[in-house]
Order: sequence, then structure tokens, then C-alpha cells
Amino acid sequence: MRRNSMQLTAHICLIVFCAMCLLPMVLTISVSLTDGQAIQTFGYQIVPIHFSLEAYEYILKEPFTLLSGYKNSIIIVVVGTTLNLLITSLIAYPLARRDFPFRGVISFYIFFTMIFSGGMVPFYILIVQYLGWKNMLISLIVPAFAAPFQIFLLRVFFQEIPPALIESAKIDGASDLRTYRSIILPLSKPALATLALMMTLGYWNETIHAILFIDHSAKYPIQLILKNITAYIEMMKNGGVDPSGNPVDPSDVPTDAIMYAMMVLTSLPVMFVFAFLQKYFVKGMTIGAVKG
Amino acid sequence: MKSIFRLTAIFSLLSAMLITGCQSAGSNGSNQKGDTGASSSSPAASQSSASSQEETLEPVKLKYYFYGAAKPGDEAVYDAMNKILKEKINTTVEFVKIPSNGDYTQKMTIMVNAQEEFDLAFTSPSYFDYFANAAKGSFVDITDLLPKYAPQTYAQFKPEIWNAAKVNGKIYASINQQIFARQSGFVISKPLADKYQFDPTGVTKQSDLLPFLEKVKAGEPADTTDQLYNAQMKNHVFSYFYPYYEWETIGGSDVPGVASSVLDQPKVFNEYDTPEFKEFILTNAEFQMKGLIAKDALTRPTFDASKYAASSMATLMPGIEETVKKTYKAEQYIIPLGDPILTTPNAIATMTAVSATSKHPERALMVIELLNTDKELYNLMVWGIEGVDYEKTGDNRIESLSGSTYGPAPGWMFGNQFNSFVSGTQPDDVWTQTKELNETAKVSKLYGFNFSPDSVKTEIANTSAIVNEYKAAFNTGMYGADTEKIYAEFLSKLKAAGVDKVLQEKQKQVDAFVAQKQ
Repeated sequence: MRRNSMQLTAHICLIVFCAMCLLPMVLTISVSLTDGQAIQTFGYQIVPIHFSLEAYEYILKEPFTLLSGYKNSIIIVVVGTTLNLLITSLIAYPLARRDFPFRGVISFYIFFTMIFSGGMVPFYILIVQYLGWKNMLISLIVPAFAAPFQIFLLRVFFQEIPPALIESAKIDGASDLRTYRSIILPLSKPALATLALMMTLGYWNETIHAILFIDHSAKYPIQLILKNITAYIEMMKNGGVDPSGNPVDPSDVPTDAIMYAMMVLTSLPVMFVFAFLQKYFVKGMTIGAVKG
Repeated sequence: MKSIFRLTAIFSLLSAMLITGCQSAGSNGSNQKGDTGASSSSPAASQSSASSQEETLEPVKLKYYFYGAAKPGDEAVYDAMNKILKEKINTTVEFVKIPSNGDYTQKMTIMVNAQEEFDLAFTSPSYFDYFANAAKGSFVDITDLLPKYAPQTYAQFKPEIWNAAKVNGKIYASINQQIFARQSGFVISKPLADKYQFDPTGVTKQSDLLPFLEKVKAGEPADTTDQLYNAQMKNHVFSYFYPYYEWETIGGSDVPGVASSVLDQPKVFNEYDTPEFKEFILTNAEFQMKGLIAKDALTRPTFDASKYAASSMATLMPGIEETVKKTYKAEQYIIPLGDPILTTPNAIATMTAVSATSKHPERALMVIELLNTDKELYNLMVWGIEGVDYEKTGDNRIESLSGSTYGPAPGWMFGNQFNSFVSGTQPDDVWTQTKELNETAKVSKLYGFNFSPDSVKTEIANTSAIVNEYKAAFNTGMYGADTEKIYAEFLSKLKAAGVDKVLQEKQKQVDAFVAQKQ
């Protein structure tokens, strides 16, 4: 009986929490499907009063920008996550080996960058003036490489792999690189998947670097496309008159709906990735929880 | 072994700190170097190009940054503009748009600090802060270059207007020609006013609207009268009435302390500690209690503009009748308050600056000159390409085409708006009217004065935070019957936050300004 009531409370708490996470998402989707006029009169509603695909039509009328945004972001995510995962794990593996001589110093060196950073301006000078990466997608990929937090996360996971396994591989004549490739990586799939998801999200949501380094709209990643459309809509919404005195009727264009439709369109692919990696993710959450 | 590690660790920590220290000092140094370099090299550069101007100009590439939403049609328009620029001054300009104004400010600030090379940029007191950047040497001093390379642009304003753009006595950016004079007022729905026989011409303050709105509330069906008065809770509505009171804001509208702008010895005072402000919030509270302002005004995401019976407006410009008719979906009476007045913040609201990192400041000024004088070039930038983005419906009148993939590009952002085609609901002579308004406006005694907030930064941050905390609720009258009590609390909080110090500093600077003028 007591267990039952405990369970009930737990369920209620979880349901409430779940609703808190889900409702904004549902609201976003339903607002994106509501007629612009209806939003003006009735406000935001969970169930669309006047269902309409107008907002999506409006965005897809000019698919040029959206598609190029997707394209750029997908390049950044795929190239970035692959290389980043490789580099991060290659750094983390030696640090996890107890027989690696300088791991204390190197760990400290990496840890140090977690606390102190050069700041925005030197970073900008490095990327733009020394490396000449302005307007190149590489400027959004490389800076995220070898994040200290991710290295340490992976190191802890690698340390959990019994050293006996590595020794037996060594006895069988495997080189260090071979051990890394054939023993360590396959055993660390959950951790790698978790990191891949973190990196994907990071790359996908990258905005501030894109604003700094990308000038050409053809190179905009998806988040900048979102910003661009938002800026355009804000312009039309403010006072119902564009600044050159040319009146725009805000209710002619489903401004709010477009904004929400853009949010749906930008977050859909990431939700997709999440669904794929979720089974690893659950395992990965326990990284470092048990020290064996 | 361990002690070696510790030593290296300490050493690397120290060296890293040293490097960071050097970096900031280094960038400061190079900043100043860039400044003096630009100002010392520009006369030389101008001489060399002045001699070569009669001959041929060598081809030059410039970079021009501003903000706005990028559109697929941008490139075609910029190509067309570059054709004109190439032909006239052998220059190619790369136009770079940053989506939003906040991002623009951030990006430009970092670019300036990184000494990145670019040539032209949009600047204003609110975005990519003109005063801060002019003072720290981000822009070329164009006091002498402007009359030389952009003579017509320089001549289109009286010298007094240029005074507003002066920082430490030097001009650092070209003012964009647009509406400068400001007059505020009310708009009142014509069908409703006629139906309830209300004479709007006598309205001089918000409370004069009360009998009219009450009649509408009683006479119209309830579902159309939930939001009769447009409270505009996010805006600083009280500042709309300053031109009428002949007050002028100093250093931002939410920083307490305004001055009477037409007195010979302007006196700075706390605008919230005045009978005018008290009346403003009490009227709002009365409106709220009588149901004339939407009950859920603070939380409602959107409002139906067609339900408003009356509204206050910050700026009345020529052609406003048609604009508000479209916004509120009914004919409107426009009731101006007081005389139009010309103040510093309005004159320099939008400007174009030449970057100190530019290699060709004189050519950048020629681009500014063309944007101000070449009608074809300017209209390309604002409206796009004829036949693709707009079609001509009259000599100077155009209509945007629905398939347009360019714009909207705001005309006030570049050059001379008086060269713009008219469109939509603007009257044909809108620019003549605007020009007249600019010229006939009363000039504030404080015209050309710019407040430097540095010595009272903390007090300003604290007091404006308090103003912003109460603003929305005061605007919508949400405190109802408690308004007077809350108002007293608001005033005492402002006092505690150091409002008097801000007022003193403002008065000190105003006095110094008036003294050096005489």
C-alpha cells in the first residue's frame, strides 16, 4: 500500500515534469500551424483554432535560404563531429593509460584552458587574421575541437576499461594504435555516442561564432538563417510600417506563425538525431558513476 | 619528479598570465597606433588622391557593413550598384549585412578591437555606439575630408546640424539625411470620434480622452472594447510627451534627468518627480480601472490593432495619416502636441562612418557622397531593381512587386532619404514636407550637446533598472488604486539608487556646454 502511494507520487511528479518539457514544444508546433489572424485575436493556443499551413508555405516559397542553411549546418555537423570525436578520443586515450608518463602535466595543461581563456578579441584575431578563415565553414568547425570537458569525460570512461584487456592485446602483438582502434573504441560506444550527440548539438546551435566569422548569406548555418528570418519579421511587425515609410500590414503575413515554424524547422533534424542516439545516451548518462 | 611537475605547472600558469596581460596592453597600444596612424596618414593619402583625381582613379575595393535581413536578391542589386560605382569612381563595394542590430553591435565591436580592415559602417548612438567608438579612435576624423571629398553631402546640412555629430570638436561620421525634427501626438479613431460626436482638436493630454473612451466603452458591444486605449506597455510612453513639455532627454530615455530645452539656462530635473508624470500614471490607472486599457495588457502576446480607439504616438511624420490608417484599419484623426523640435539625439540617429582601419578613407567618402547625391544608386539600394523588385507607377512613385527577393532596406540607413522614391501611402511631396519640418523646427538650446555617462555609470545602471522595472505596470495602470502609494515607493527607490548624483552630473555637463557656447 505504501509502495503504491509512493509510486503514485513519483508518477505524478514525473508526469508534471514531462508536461513541463513537452508543453512548450507542443505549443511551438501548434502555433506554427495556426492562422496569423487567429493568433492576433485569440493569442497562443495549444490546439490551433484556425489550422493553416500558411507559415510553412511562406518559408518554403523561398527555399533557397533554408536549404543552403541546412546544407551548411549538415556539413559542419558531419565533418565537425567526426573529426572532433576522433581528436578528442585520441587525446583522452593516452591520458587514461596509467603508463603514460606526462599525463599529469598534459591534463593540467588541458584543464588550464577550461578556466582561463584568451577572450573574444584574440580569438577573433587568430581565426580571421592569422588563419584567414573568414567566411569559411572551417572557422565554425575547428574551434570546437578538443573541448576539455569532453576529453575528461571520455578519459574517465576509458579508465573504466580493465587494464587487463589492454595488456592482453599487447601480448597478442597489437600496437597502441591498434589497441585503441580494435579494443577501446568498440567498447566505448555509449560514451562516444553521448559525446557525438553533445557535439552535434553544439555545432547545430552554433550562433555567435557564425555571426562573427560568416559575412556571406550563402554560407549562413541554419541558426543564422533563423536569425535572419526573425530580423525580417521583426522589421515588418514593428509599427506595421517598414522604416522607409512603406506600410506593411502585419496581419497579411503570419509573422508569429512564421517565427514558430522556423523554430520547428530548425530543431527537427536535431530531434531526429537524438532519437537515433537515444539508446546509447541512456547508457552514457552513467559514465563515471561507478568506478571499477 | 613531483617537484619538477609542480615547477612547470607554476611556470606555465605564470607565463599564461603574463601573456594575457601583454595581450590586453598590446591591443590597447595598437588601437592608439591605429588611430594616430589613420589621422596622420589621411592628409597624405588625401593629397596623393587629390592630385590623381583629375587623372584616373585606381581601382579600389571597399567593405561596407550595416544590418538587416539578407535576401536572395541581394547580390543582383549589389552588382547593379557596383556597376554605377565602378563607372563613376572606379570602386567596388562589398556590402555586408548582419541580421540583427544586437548582433551587429557585437560583431562590429569585436572587429574594431581586432583592428580588422573594413571601410564603411552604419553607426548610431544605440547600435555600434557612435560616441564610444569615435572617442576611442575606431573612426576616421572626417572634419576636413568631408567637405573635400563629399562636398554636396557636407553642404546639405547647416553647420549647426554637423555640430551634433561632433565628438571632442571633430566629426567622425556622415549624418544620413532623414527626418530630424520631432513632434509627438495622439491618433484617434475617426469613425468612433464622429459617431460619439467627440471633437478631437481640443486634446492636449491623455486625460482629455477619458470622456470619449468612456462613451465608446458604454456604446459599443463589449467584445470590441476590451482594449480601447493603446498603452504600449513596453515603450517609454511618457517620453512621447517631452516635446510638448519642451523637455529633452539626456543620455537615453530611461536614464532619469531631463532638461527644459528652450530655456537659456537649461535646468536638469528628475522627470519622474513632476506633476506631469504623476498625472500620467494616475490617468493610466484610471483608464485601467475603467476598463479602457486591456486587463491582461502585461501578459497578452499580441493585440488587435483595429480595436484601438486612441493611441499616443512618438513621432508624427509627413504621410503619417495614411500609415496609421493602415495600421489601425480605420481613418484616424492626428492630433499634434506642441511645436516640432530639433534635438541632438534625433539628428544623429543614423550615420555612416569611415573605419580607422580603412586604407582608402577618401574613396569611402566618395561612396558616401554618391549615396547622398546619386538618385539611381540610392534607390537601387533601398528599393532594388526596377521591373524585378518594384515597378514605377508615376514619375517618382513606385510600387513593390510581390515576387521581389530584395529588401526591405530601410532608407534612413544610408545616404539621403530625400532622394528616395515614394511608395504606398506616402504623399508625393513627403520629402519636401519633411525637409520643411526639419528646417522650421525649433532648435533646442542643448542642440549639439552629448552627455558622457562615464563618471556616474553605476548610478545610471541602477536608476534605469528601477525605471524599467516599473515602466510596463505604470504604462498600463496596473497598480490601480494603489498607484499613489507605489509611486512614492518608486521615487524613494530612485533616490536610494543615486538619482541625485546623476542629475548633478548632467547639470554640470549641461552648464559646461552652455558656457562654452557663449
